[in-house]
Amino acid sequence: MKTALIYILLAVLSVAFCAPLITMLSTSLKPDSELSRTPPTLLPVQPDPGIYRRVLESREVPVPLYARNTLIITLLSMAGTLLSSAAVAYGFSRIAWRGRNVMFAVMLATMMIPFPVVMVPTYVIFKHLGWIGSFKPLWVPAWFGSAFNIFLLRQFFLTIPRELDEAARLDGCGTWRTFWRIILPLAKPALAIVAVLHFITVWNDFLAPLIFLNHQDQFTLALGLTFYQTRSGGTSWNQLMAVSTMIVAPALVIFFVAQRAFVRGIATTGIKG
Amino acid sequence: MSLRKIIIITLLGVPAGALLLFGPRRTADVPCDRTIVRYWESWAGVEGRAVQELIDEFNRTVGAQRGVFVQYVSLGSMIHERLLAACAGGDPPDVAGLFAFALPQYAELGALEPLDADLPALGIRPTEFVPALWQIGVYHGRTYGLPSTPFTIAMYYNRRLFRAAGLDPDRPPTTFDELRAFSERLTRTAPDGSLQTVGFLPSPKVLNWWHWCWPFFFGDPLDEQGRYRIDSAAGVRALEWVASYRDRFGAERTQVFEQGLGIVVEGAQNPFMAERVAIIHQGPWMANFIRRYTPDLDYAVAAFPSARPDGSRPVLVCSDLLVLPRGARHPREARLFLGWLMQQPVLERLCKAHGKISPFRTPGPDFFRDHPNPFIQIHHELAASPAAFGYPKMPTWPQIEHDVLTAVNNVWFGLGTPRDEARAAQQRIDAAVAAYERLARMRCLAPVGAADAKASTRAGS
Amino acid sequence: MSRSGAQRNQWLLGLAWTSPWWLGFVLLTAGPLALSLYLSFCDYPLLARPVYIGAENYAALVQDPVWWKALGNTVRFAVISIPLCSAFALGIAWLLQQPNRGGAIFQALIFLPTIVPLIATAMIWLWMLNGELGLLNQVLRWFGLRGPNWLGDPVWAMRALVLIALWGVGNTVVIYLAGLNEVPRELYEAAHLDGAGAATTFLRITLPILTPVILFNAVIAIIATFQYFVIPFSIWRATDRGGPGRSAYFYTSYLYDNAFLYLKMGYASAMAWVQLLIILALTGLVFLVGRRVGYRP
Repeated sequence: MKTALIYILLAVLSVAFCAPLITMLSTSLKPDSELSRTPPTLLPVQPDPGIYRRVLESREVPVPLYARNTLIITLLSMAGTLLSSAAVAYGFSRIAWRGRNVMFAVMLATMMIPFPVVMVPTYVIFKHLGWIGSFKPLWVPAWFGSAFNIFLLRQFFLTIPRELDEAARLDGCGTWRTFWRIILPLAKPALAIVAVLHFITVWNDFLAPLIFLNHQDQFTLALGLTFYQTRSGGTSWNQLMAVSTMIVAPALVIFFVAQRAFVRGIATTGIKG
Repeated sequence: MSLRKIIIITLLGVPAGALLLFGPRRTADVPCDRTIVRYWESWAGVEGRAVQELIDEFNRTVGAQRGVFVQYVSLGSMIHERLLAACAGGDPPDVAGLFAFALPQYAELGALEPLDADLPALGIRPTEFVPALWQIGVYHGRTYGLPSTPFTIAMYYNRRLFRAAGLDPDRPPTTFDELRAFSERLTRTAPDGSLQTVGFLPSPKVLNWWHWCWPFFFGDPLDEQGRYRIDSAAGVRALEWVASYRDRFGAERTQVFEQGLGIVVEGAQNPFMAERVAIIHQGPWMANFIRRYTPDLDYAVAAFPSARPDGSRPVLVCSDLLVLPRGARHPREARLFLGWLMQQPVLERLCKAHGKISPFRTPGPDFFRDHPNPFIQIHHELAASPAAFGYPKMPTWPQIEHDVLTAVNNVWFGLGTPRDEARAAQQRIDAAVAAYERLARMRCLAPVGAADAKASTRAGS
Repeated sequence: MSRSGAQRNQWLLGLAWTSPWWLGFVLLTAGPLALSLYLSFCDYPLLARPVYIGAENYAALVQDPVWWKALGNTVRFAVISIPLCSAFALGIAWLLQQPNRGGAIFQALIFLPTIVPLIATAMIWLWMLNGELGLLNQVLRWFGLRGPNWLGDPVWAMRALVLIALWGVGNTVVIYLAGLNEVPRELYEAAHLDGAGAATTFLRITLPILTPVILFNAVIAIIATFQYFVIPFSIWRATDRGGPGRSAYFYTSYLYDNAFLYLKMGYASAMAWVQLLIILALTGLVFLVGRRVGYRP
């Protein structure tokens, strides 16, 4: 009875959460003539998969090229943020040292300043480094950890019982081994979340690529998306939604892969071990 | 576990690896022996393709001879932010497309190269241009921008609905009184009292992107210094006129009606194309939308009616501008390209591809022939109207535009009376202008010369 | 080893572990941050040099009705959406934790909206919330209800945005879910043996252990609300900035307009630093409350 209720609730929620995405998918398959139907049709009457082919072959927004660019940036950025954010979060949560809280507060504060007001000074720094027009401004900063990810990991590290560190220390483990052998394996769910959320952030970011890249051939998928709205030629809704669908797909796969990690926390790995 | 690994590898690893290893690299090959001129624009898609074709031609011909290669970058609607960041960071492109409203800001802060001295050498003769369109790029008597793809805003009306309402489709309204009378006849009410079709609505929601322009139709909202005043007689009358439409159709009913309109402008849900609104104030790109989504729509274009006592026909003229940002790397080569692009036959190809009018007084022999907009000649003639007006040339304009929009919105939603809203908005505008001028004096910027500001704001006179 | 020597070692160790962050801070972030603080005391129209004008920007801020309006809207949105979204997310996470089969599918479906690029999200909702043709009002009509003019009505605009926010709780759900799974099973079993009911177990065990995660979500939500802007920006860009009667004009929308349209970067920087103070105060409050109810194993 209770289980059935839970399933029904979940099913209703899932449908509600999916409806807008079904709109996206169905719009991406509607031929131009059908876009103009009033009231709009829920599902395409005559689906036209050719829209995807046209989008993939378009010369103005070369989707495969942009996908490759986005992939390079995302992979480099993800690798960096996972490594450094975890290490920094460890320093902020499992090691007691003076000034820790002050520095942590400063780190939190850096998140609170909106990008627009630091955009120009940041641009100037990257210009002096000669990075404008390259992918570097988009992934190098991730190697210094990102405040959001550090914060998230720190909070998760805090939920791991202290006794584990003590035990490790008594076994003669240094901080590095404790981090690598005990904390990281236990924090897999949190790491998986960081990976997924960071992937999505970088994958969908369009402001930073817009500001720091210089040439058409370097652009990313999310930036390419903005080019489907031309100023006097009209927006190709079906193409826009087709690209959106293609952008969403890899993130969805990543999620499916990663979610196995974050539903198995301490509960199943067992701390008594 | 192993199954999961296989899934990961096939779903992610293989395509990702293939893309990284065999995926496409840079498509453009930039010749290394040429000077690269960076040209940034907002045009993407079809519009971007049109300009890229011209640039390819330049690179093949003049560019090849003179060792110049123009690299076009399309930045979409976000070009504004990108250009600001680049100019502020001291790394501007050599040539850029600029929105007309931003010209006073850029010009006043010394971010653009004045072009007057170069015009003869570039073979550009201002007298060949429609004066109102040429003036768009002029600020305080100096030329900073050249009109690339100009347009005028006109009345688009639905001939079928005119006929259905017993109106002569060849005689559109010419005055605001007629506009009101026609609108009443065109309006159709459903049995339950709700509005089905409306003749005309000055609501900011019904494709009226230029909410600030209505005062120009009642008179002159600019003061002696060329500053826009919403509390001028024309401004208040315009707000009262907006309120009168709301009162006539009922606030509740117009809101229900607006509710049903697609907010999405470029689709068949566009209220004009869906035949829910019979008369709108719009630009030449409407023809592109109509051809694409509702090719059978029977419509025509004329000058928008006027409420001016002298009967003159105010026309909003606007254009994208080509500018040379100050501090760019290759100013000489940029001018070479600019001169080439501004040749009448070249530029008109671009205007035509974009569905815009020609900035030249006498367009080339086949400009109107097979132009994508069948009414382009009307749009072009409107640019010569003695009452043509453009964006008021004030460096504080973007802020003023928002304040005026708030006033129009509040009047439309009945949140305030026209007079009160005009006063409140004007107070904010005055404060913004005063603050700007005080700071400008501190920076020792050129003071706003009253006479030539008025002259350059009042385009075409 | 002497006591102070041990302390010094700990200090060096802490600095070493956190070095990626503070190196990045010193090299990339500190400069722009300090500069933006300085610029908040300047007139800086981006295209020309900044000119020092003292605290004028801050004084102007207090007298600016639009700033108050934007701040009020943002606070209102925060007060409505943060508790709603948190409770909603926690509820969903709890539901998702229950079934043994199919959980992954439900989880993915609920997470799905978070993946969609913001521009596409705005476009999708423009369609969904259309007063007459929108899917939502069509569904309401099946139940005999007349839906409101979601995006055109000053009152409903804010509610529409809350609805969109609720739709995007997927990432919060995932974080809660991971948090819930951190709760050791033995604790539940012990509680069960003690005869504690579901509510007691949730309040006495689940909630305290989740405290760090809830704190995280609260702080992130506060920061995100103050930086909230892409969705309203994309929805109302075509018609009117900030929605009807500026009722959906948010703090960052105004900051953005000041920075890039009005070219008042100094003013925008002042806004940013006031915003920082507000968020810091709220974050401090959240941490203080968290410490009171927090659970320390």
